[in-house]
Amino acid sequence: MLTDPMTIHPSSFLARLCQQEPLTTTSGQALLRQIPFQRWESSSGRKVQTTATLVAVDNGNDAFKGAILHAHSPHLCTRRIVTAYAPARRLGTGDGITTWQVNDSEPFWIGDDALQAARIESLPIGMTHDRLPDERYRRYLFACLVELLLSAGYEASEAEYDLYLSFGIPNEEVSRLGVNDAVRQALIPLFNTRSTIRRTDEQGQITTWALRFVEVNPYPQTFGSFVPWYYTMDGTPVDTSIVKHLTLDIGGGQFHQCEVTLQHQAQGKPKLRMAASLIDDGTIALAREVRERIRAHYPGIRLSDVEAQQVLVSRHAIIEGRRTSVESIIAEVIAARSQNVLTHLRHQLQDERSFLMFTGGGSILLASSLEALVRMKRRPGSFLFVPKELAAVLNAIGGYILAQVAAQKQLERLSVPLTRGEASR
Amino acid sequence: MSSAPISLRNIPPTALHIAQSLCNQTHLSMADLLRQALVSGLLVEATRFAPDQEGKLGGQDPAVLARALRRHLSSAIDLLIQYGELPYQGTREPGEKSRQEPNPRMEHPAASGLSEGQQALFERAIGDDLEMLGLGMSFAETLESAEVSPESSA
Repeated sequence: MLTDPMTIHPSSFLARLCQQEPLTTTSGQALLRQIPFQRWESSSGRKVQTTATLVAVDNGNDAFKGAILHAHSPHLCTRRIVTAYAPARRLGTGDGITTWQVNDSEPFWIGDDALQAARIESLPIGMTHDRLPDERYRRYLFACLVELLLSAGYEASEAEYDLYLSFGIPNEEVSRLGVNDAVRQALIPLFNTRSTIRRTDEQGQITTWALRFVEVNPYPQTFGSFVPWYYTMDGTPVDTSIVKHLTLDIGGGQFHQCEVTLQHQAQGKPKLRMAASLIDDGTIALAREVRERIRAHYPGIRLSDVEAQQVLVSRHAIIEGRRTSVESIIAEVIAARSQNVLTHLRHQLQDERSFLMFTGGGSILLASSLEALVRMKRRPGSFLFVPKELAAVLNAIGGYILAQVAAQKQLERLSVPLTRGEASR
Repeated sequence: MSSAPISLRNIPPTALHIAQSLCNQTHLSMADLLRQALVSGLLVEATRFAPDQEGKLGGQDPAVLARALRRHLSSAIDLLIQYGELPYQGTREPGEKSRQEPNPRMEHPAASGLSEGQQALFERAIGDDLEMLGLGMSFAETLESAEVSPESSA
């Protein structure tokens, strides 16, 4: 991936990710992968020593986005899994579908597999306290975490994986005083509770995992994207003349902005101020319009929100048993409705004091119309479209950097040696 | 062997202070002391990286490396025990196994210390910024301070 040094500083974490370089500091040290941690055990009434694995989750409405350092190499692994859940049904011959069970739950499918099911169920969207209490959502979350661990080279084990979690939540749920009480109450049942996850793969191989969140550090989702743009691998800010940075995060469910003001000082690093807000619905508005138009053509096809999002992204729908291109319908909808999304941008585009960074899955979907509009209004160097390989998961990547910071701070307080990942080889 | 001078500019001042104190105490030359430190330090460094394809650590057979390390680390381990700083010490009953050893199927990421300079650098930059923004709340600490520590088993 080529990067423009005018918009992505060559020393930034983001530049390293774009170049797919090993994530090591300038002195060749790898990021923290695991840390010693003391968790409370109520049965014995004392703290017990454990090893916690760092992981970040951006809890998006449209998809789970996770980030974790690979188990054996200094590279970051990310996963995006569509927020879809369906009770599993018995299959005939041929390859099966990866099936999950969490604790004593019903067997279920997630992500793209769930989208193939006849009985796909909508998981709650909205605020954290609307989503986390839903038992099916929690199962989905744990299944996604196992998929993330697997993709990062971790293996199922009798031993429990204790997770040190950075958890991205809607910006408006986080303030200077921490998270609000509703979020806190929603997180308590998940915290320090062991969950057993049984995964049956396509060939019928069964593995069992045990996960526990020993720490949860909530962070505002959209701020996550600013972090890899602004910091180097050593954790220092990049040298930039930008003083007003605006992240425009067009997600599936919501469209957020996060403005960070960099107040440069005569000496030392800049002081930061951050303000995040919800602008509008994300691409779900487009997906619903696509759903209505498809239904107008094919009255028998009734898509759920998550199925409609998938049609929007894949530009195909299953019609009369065939995977059929609905490109023309989608092009019409994007041309007609994207103006609504883009209307919100006019103010930001006209306010030339800000540097604009476009990210989120929606920025990929609307890329052509969005880029045309922005290039018309803005000069090169005053905006950045996060490369599409990273745009959908950048909030989670920032969360992983925040987990590093929190873990290092904790270790300094404990004054214990660290468990580091290997450095670049 | 090259006789080119080696820059000490990037060595943390605290490490140089320790070196100077030891030279004063033992009357070793700085060069001799740093030579010893290099030997001991490289043995420790060899444990920090994953084994190569032949299972060797820093080109050494792990058993040989372990024997060599023992001689270098025994005094350090004694000190850690004496001051209660041995990792995991005091958190287990005699004979009790750790609740979560690093996953045995993982290529073991070995324990090691973080260089003081880097830790401080990382912390001061992002850590200070996050504090300024009111971010980085630890849920575990919040709950502990509220004297709530839920724990249940599946």
